[in-house]
Amino acid sequence: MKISCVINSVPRTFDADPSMKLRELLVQAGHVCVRDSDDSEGFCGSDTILMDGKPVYSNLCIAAEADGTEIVTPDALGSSMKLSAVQQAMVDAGVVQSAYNAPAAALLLTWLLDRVPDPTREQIRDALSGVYIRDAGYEAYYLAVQLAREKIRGGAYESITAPSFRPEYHFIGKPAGKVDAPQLVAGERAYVEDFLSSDACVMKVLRSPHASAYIRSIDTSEAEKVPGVVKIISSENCPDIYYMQAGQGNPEPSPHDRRLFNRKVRHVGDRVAAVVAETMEAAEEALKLIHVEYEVLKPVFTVEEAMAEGAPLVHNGIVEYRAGAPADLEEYNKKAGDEREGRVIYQFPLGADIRHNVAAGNSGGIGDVEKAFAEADAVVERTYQTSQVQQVPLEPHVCFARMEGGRLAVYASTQVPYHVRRIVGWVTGLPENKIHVIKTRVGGGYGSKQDILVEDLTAYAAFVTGRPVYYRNTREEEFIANSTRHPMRMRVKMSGKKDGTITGIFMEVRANTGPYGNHCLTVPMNSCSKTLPLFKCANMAYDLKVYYTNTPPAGAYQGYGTPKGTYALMMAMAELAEKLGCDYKEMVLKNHVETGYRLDILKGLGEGREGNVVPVGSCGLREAILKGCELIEWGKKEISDDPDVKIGKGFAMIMQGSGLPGLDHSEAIIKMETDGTVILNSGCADIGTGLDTVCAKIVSETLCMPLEHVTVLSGDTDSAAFDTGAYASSGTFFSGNAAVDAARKLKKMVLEEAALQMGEAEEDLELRLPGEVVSKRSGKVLTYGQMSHALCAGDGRGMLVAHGSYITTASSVPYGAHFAQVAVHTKTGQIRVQKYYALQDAGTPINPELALCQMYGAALKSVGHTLYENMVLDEKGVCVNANMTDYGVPTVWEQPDDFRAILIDVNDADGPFGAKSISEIACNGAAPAIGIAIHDAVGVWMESWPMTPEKILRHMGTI
Amino acid sequence: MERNVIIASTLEEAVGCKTPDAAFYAGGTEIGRLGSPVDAKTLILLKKIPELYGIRVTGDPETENPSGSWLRIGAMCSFQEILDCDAAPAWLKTAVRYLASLPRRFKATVGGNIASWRSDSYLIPTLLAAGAKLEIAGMEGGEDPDQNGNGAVPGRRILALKDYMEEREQLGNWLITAVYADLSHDLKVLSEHFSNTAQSHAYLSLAMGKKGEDYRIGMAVAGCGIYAPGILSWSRAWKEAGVRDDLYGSEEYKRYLAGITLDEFYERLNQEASVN
Repeated sequence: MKISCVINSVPRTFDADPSMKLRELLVQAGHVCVRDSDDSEGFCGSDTILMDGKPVYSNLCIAAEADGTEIVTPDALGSSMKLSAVQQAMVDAGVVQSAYNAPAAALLLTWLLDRVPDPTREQIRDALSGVYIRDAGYEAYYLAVQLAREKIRGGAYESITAPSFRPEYHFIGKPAGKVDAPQLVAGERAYVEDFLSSDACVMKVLRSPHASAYIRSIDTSEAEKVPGVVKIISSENCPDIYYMQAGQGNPEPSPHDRRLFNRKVRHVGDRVAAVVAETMEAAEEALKLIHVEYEVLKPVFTVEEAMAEGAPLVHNGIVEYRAGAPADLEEYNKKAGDEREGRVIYQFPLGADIRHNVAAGNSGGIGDVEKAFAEADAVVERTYQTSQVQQVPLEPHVCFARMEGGRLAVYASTQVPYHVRRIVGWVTGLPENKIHVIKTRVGGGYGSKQDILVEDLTAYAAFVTGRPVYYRNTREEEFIANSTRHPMRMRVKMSGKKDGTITGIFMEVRANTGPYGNHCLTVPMNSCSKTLPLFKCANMAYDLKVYYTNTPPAGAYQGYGTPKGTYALMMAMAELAEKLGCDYKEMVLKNHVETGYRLDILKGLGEGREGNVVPVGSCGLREAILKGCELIEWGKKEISDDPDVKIGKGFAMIMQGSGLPGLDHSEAIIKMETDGTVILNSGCADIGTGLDTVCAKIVSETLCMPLEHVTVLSGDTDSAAFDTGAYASSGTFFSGNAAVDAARKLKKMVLEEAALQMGEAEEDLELRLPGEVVSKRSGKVLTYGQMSHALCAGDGRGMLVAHGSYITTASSVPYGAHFAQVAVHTKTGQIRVQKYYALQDAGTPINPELALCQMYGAALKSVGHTLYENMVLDEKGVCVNANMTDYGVPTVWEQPDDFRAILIDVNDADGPFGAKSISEIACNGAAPAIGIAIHDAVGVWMESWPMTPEKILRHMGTI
Repeated sequence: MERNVIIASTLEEAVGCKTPDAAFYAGGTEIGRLGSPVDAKTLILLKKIPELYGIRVTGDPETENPSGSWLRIGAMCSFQEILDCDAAPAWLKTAVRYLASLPRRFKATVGGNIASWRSDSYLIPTLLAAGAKLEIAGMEGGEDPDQNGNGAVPGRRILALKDYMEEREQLGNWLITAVYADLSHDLKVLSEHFSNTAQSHAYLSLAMGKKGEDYRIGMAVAGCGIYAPGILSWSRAWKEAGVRDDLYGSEEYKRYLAGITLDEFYERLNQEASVN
């Protein structure tokens, strides 16, 4: 059908299938910013356009509808070189982070302001109702609208975009925009899908309908005959190589317990076969023609089922150890089951016992908890349960791989480019110099892209076929075949004295890692290692076991196990305070750690190795607690106008880490170009959080040069040196410190070279803006451009290049306190978060506006986990809500009415320019703060999340 | 999936094309949505039929009594148009607001929402409680075309939404052309839409209307269906619906919610009536 329309003021005519999605037509027409995040579910809004002046989802339009219409796509608003007022305001407000649907949000806000120049908060909220935002939350969008209004009306901002820190610096601690934000908000090519070549094959994966089954046979003969099918890969022809998908330092504390395809499927959605084909239609047709005969086995879904005597075993093959094998391993392996079970290979002992479904275990502690319990005035013992929740990034897992000049190029949306390269090397057998991983912009990760969930197979498919291969998870696959937060059962026993002193804490953690052991030790360990060190308590112990089950896989998720551990400990503490007759706030103040307190508990809480015992460093915890209590008017009882509504308040203290001391490692290479500008090749992986900007500011500050004279190229394994990646809150601290090291070395080189060129003593020279060396003695000036040109003019000493790196045993811990005020409807059980205040000590916030938005985003995500989100499995292990609408992610409507993020100003001794991590910790406070607030409102202790209305009513005895 | 698309420019054309394996395509927010149950080979696009648009105050469509006060809403009117219409009653705007996404409100149509008859419907419980009427058109009962195939005139009917609910299975080839909302001052309608988040599917939608001494209930239970029980028989209707535990909660919880909500509606409607 001939379809004529006007797109961004240009008349266009297409000869197209009238029933195709309009979004596809627009993308084919070059409007790549009209993206898809939900497979046409009409939820995320990445596909928003204006049709005849009205915002609509282009995935919910067929092409025929476009005939005769006028369409505006987000790329019409402005380019990265010339942003519109709204786009610029979004950048300045800090909301352009992973930004997968930032162009759509810009379009909606532009549409709003065109019609309503002075919109109310309610109108702004309504305009944002069609976009799902996971990274930055919605709060700063109100600021963006305000900024845009001011700019449109008066040509300049009147409002402050974000607070500034460290007046002694030019760039550090100042809101200055994110270096990649203009490209992202303008909707320019940035993500994996934007780098596809026209000859790319597509790959689709056949997934298991059973939670546990042996594959008796796979017949691909019919499927292979489908025209366009290039290759079918399955357990019959994949390499016999065991590995794990967790992106962690080598040797990994996760068992190598899978191949590309296994002969036993272990969850609904597990890989059975992959079809590489020249068209999507051929791939989908071939999938239907693969005949698989399964031998269905009894599954286990919960830790209780998994630990039961005689429970079906998720893994029951041969066990191997790379180091530290137990003496009875041979005997142990005599009990191995069917050869289709495969193998499990440990890099070192993890306390595992697969014959009892135990993937990992650990225990330890300090002092004598039993004695503490026996001598206490009161003891609380409670068990808390958390559900399986998903990261739900806007951009699903996606990968494009192709052979280029005999090397394998992998375009990846990843947090860990170097780990991707290592694992792709394992499965393909290629050495690392033959693999080039290019981290594109990442449309949301939150830990899920710390795992190599699609790059392994996509890269292998490209390698084995010699064809370019593109793979993208459907949204359903994101839920069932991805990674999720480990569901956990935590038993906490806590004792105290009448004066409010906590005397003993015991945590028993039983975690569900699902079918494979990604992060099976580290995530549950974090539920202890990032919570117990909050307490000044001499008697603390933990015991954790992690079980294999047949649920969808678990893995890394922002916060690791900390949100769960914090939930359990703080709830127990609040209950103990009530039991002792103490004020909860006073009890918190009495028991929290302070600078200098020696954290002996950390000794046993390493990531599979002995942990570093260190004293508490910089710590803004007390200030966060006191300031938060003041803001929320702690102790003042709020009364609702509605007699059926009760209001309560709660808060929780929180901590995280800044990378993994002794394990993480970052490097950066910096070179001064011939005009005196600088390129930093950083191993870091900016996943939208502004890490490139952190590095750019560090270089600018150190070298006294304008931000626009610094370019950061990151996440490219060819051009940069090693970095463990963006996880465990390591980015700013580790990669930032590597940038500091590189910049300082370059600064030294600049001074040495300038001394030679200027004929001055080095000690008389100093650097100054805008990138020049000045003699304090003579007043002579040499610009970096002059100096660098001379270095490369044929008789010079060559370009200045420096290499920086960073490792440490220091531990810079961010602290904070999150506060909630909730209104609970006593008849329906419905909860409204009226106030949510997140107060955090991030050291020096290098990008304050981005830091605030990350706090909003992570806190809202955690409000989602606390109240709404839950993957529900049926009795066969099928996830019955594997879509955005039913799963329950919060959107603008669920955002707390009064939502504040506040930075506590603390300078850290080890962080780059005093910085610590910021966003991950913000996941930790919502569940306990809301849980304690619910108790304050209606008197019930919520022992599991999500805290649904039905659970509240049941706790209240209403039903 | 490639489908045939017919862009109808008249009502006659649209209705004349309707066969069991064709589907009317209004706003597309349900047909085009992931997981849509509609598997039609042909889509009949309605957007170019002028008769299906417009909101105007009119008389009672059944009695043609000009003194009656009704709002005729063309089936292709979007949810957003209703929100933006001064004449639309507040109770209807409340129901429209249950669709919490602005871009979908611009595309979703009143006719499409009714025709899709989803058990998490935004509008139907409220419209049932309000005693809304539908105008529908179909070739059955119309005039056949002449020998050259020209001149077919579709038959038209006005019927209460509650009657449409009873006959719906037999009206598969009929097109909803308009919805009539009663604007009488003595009509009061209350509704509630229970969902996990604002954007989640509703697991329970309830509405109660009162006009004079007449009470009407509209009830939609996700996964079960849509019901219009009498005020004294809602619990029987509930039992017959076979409501089960699901991902949104137990049957017991949903029954409890229905009970307290309807009780509250009844109380409030009576209070408002006594004040009036």
